[in-house]
Amino acid sequence: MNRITPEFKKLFSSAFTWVCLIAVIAFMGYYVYKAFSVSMYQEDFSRDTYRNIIAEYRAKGLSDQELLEQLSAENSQLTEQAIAYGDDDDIYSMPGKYGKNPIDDFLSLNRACDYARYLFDDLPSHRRVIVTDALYNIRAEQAKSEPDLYIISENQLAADMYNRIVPTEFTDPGDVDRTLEYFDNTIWDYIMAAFAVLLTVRMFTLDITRRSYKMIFSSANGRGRLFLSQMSVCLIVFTAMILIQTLCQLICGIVFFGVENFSLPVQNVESFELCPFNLTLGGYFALKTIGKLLFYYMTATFAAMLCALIRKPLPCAAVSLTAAILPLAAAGYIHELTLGENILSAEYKIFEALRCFVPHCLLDPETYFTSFDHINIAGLEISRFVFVVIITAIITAGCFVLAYLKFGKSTAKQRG
Amino acid sequence: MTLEFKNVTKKYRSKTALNGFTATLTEGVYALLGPNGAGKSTLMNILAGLLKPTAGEILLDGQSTEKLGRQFRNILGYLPQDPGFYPTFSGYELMKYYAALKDIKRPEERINELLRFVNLSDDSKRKYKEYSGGMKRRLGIAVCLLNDPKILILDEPTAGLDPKERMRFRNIIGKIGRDKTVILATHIVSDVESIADCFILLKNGETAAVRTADEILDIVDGKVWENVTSAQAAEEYALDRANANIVKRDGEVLLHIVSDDKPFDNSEPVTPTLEDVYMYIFNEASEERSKE
Repeated sequence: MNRITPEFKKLFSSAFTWVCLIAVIAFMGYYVYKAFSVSMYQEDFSRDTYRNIIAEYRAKGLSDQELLEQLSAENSQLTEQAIAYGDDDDIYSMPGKYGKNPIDDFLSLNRACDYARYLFDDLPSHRRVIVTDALYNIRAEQAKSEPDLYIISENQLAADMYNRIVPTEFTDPGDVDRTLEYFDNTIWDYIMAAFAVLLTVRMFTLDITRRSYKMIFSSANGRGRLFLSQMSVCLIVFTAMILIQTLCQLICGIVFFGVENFSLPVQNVESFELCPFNLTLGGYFALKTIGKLLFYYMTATFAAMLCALIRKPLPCAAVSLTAAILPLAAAGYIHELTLGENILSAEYKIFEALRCFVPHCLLDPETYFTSFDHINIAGLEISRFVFVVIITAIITAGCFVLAYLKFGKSTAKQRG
Repeated sequence: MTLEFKNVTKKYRSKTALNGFTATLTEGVYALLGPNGAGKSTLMNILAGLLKPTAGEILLDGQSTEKLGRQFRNILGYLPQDPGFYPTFSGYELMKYYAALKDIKRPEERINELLRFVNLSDDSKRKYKEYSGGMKRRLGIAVCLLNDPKILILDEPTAGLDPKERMRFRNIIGKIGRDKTVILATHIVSDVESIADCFILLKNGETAAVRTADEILDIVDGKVWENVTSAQAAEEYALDRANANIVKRDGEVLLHIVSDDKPFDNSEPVTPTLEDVYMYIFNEASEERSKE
């Protein structure tokens, strides 16, 4: 620690570091504010009423189907009442059964009904369809004279993964989608990627620009350990920033969007309906954070490697920024093109290939968990998320080793 | 301990910064003299391991310093002209930081001892940016001495210091130089005149002369002249000549000239100084004239 502390002090003695840090914190504040303002004005129902309805129905101890039937019946009844009142404003002054008025009851009950239908009807039936289709595909393939083993193994895995009971609960998971919207978007990713690059370049070129490298590099432990200390500082700063970001996101989720129960399976949220993994919401947030951390570690080690090779702040920053942001922009652009496209289209295939090998997709991890997303490597079915994590870890380790060796050996380019 | 430079050469594309430097150094203070661009800093950067020579090698007791690597850096102290110390660190923090870089375990006692040696004990908690020029240089020396180096490289250590601080600095170097090899690069002749045991004169990347303190003045023996003249004549003569300067002594104006030949009939030979050697060797004006 006594080697890292002075490196922190060095980094934060630079005004540039503070400018970068303040810019990132300002954007973080902006997203928190945006989440707050959206939560204030865009909710079309009362979450408390919605939760009252769910709690009341859970307390009845009904079976799934009975609960769905009773909920649907009450929903139809309330719909008829709402139609009967028409545009009469008196309805707003009447007391509601669950909430402040019958309209509040109607909107919340309608939503609870949709949610129960999703949990008890759609989710199990859609998973059954996937399993049935997968088994059919296996049989069809096996019937062929030359069966494609890849298709068989992929379908077998899909059948196994979806043929499991998901322990969902009839309880409100909160607005997870909106929680993810802030801090999991392209602009924020650009900002953080730029922050990672600029801070790393600053750290690794500070001694050169201040000309203190002469004394440092001529010291016994001047280079190798200096690299490790400076790299540690960068990684600690990024880890702190990502953890703060995750914390902000979770606080926004808890305070503004009612996301409180992180032990619920992700399938409790409709957008994760087709997630094949047994994963909790908390687990998803943890994996997302790890993926992002890994991406920024890769960005930092790549920038450090360039600094060891080039040693000049501006070219280092320019090349690292391009390497960090260009694939991100390309992946984002192609993803936009693929929206609504057939999965057999050329754009979709390019996007799929990018998602396979470009670590930048770790910044948008939701795509890996909302469908059956595995790839076959030498007969082994592996989750695409795991594959990208491995690829990123390999790139990070490669850049780290190369930077360490180059930094340790290199002599200054400056003229004496 | 013997430090041997064997034909050390450094080239940058078309420019040769150092050409075949050869010398053998033992304990003592070595003054590396030469004007800007003579190759002093290049030589020191090569010795400190910051630059790789294009050709040649440096041997410490017969072993290549490059191959010795960390073992060599362990006995090396290098103070560049601008050490680039971080201004927000205090003197003590800087010492501690460099002690860690030099792999010194439990450095507190050594730090305090060195701060006392350079007379900075009372100011060790002050930030580096609050230090005067002299204090900064003294702190630099203290940092260099942390690992008790056998070889000490000092690049223009007195640049920008007032006379009092320069004298103080000379005393420190004098003390250190008794049992170490101190290489002191400067173009301020008076700083090394009294403390150097040996003088290495570099000119355009080449070795112009290597002489001990006893021999150095022999270079200009019988080549330094003075004659009494009028102020106007002296000014006219010295104006475009780098080998002449005006000296005012006892109310008289003297023209001090370094020249192979007696410049005027009334010129009298005088005892040379190191500055005369410097003027004689690095006198570009006279060199240009001789080329013409």
